[in-house]
Amino acid sequence: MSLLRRSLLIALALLASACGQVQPWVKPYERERLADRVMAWERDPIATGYITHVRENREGARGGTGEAGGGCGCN
Amino acid sequence: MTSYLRLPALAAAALACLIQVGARADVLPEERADVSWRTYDGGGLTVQGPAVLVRKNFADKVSVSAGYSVDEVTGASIDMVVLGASPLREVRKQKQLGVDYLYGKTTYSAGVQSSIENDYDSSTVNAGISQSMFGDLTTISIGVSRGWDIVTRVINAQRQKDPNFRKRVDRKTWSLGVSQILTRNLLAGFDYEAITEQGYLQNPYRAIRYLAGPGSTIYLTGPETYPGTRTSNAVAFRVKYYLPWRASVTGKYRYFFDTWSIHAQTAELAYTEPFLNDRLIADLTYRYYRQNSASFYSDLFQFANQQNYMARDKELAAQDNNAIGAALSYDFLKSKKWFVKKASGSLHYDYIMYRYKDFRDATQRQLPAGTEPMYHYNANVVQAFLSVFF
Repeated sequence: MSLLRRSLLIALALLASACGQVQPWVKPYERERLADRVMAWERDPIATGYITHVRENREGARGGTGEAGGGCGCN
Repeated sequence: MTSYLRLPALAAAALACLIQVGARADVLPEERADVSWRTYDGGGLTVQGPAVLVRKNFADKVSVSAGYSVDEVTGASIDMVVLGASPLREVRKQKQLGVDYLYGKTTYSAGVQSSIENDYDSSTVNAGISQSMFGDLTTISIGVSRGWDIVTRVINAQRQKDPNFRKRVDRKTWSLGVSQILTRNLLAGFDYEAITEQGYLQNPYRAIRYLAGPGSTIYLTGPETYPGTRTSNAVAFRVKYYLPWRASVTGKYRYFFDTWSIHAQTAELAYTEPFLNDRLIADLTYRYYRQNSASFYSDLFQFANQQNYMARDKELAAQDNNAIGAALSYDFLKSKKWFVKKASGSLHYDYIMYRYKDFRDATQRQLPAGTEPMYHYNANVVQAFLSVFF
């Protein structure tokens, strides 16, 4: 089984297992540290975009750097 | 089209993704304006130029971002030196526009990018959706993009184009991202991205080299021939941990594989800590990258037309690189009364050491072909920028 297929199956299994009633195990009032700017996945998009550009022009690999859905999810 | 500018569309799409899905799904991204100057110096090439990126929100529902950048490339890469080409002077201009729309815990995103240089134009559109769920512990993002490139060829020092050479590249990208709160101190993320490309995927200027004859010690050069399609997959994991003191450590790992038989691994470590009553924030990073060569790559073919597909692009060669980076951002203005809430100046520096395992320094023609030392070079990347948050 390819790594891609395995990864997708694991992701789907995680999603399916989460379809029931999930109680947040980290309450909103417990997310102070996660909201700190030292925990930001992406602090300066303009800088990250450029270094990604530099790397992708010199390496065979590309993608997977989307940082998608970043942030702490706290209010 | 230099090796530096070979993937402007991918870079544009990556930047667009960073900009548009970088925030959590139920809050619009921060309003800010950045003005940047950046330089790259390495491998015989110097790239420098400005960039501007502005993001403005409206009615807590819509966020619009716009960016513009210019890269001026000068110098001669090793490929150009081997072929005896004259030093390069190219300009690439990139524009992008993105919109995010927030509805409940869902953010819908769309964007367009355009990159124009003398012999390579690319246009990309992208769309995405990001959803917070499970008490905001989880954010899932899905994105797609579609790109169209036009490749042309300059034929003389006056930068005139070959009227009979005009090629296309079509590109599709799919991405899935999951960000997860694991504990009150630990964040984790997963990213998957697939890219398919079809069309003229090679560089019209680069050449292979092959032995002049059986047992010869000199080489001749000939045209590269690439497959017309390429599909790649990247799977990445990342974690970020809040340390017992006010600082964080980040770990990232990416595995990449494609239909050209390239397998690559990337590992990255970062440390972030604020100083001076939170006015200064510093990052230290280390990154390691390695890949094997593409199936149709060779540093030195035995004869012309040895196989159907032939390449000598060092980007497709077996290589590894180590990079260390440091970043400093200083908040020189903080205000709760002014239109501007915060202003900061930042300096990012990256030092990258490229080492090739099957790409030789063919400029050393005094040595028998195939015995030259492996090519290597170091690069400096500096970014200075001013950010205003409002």
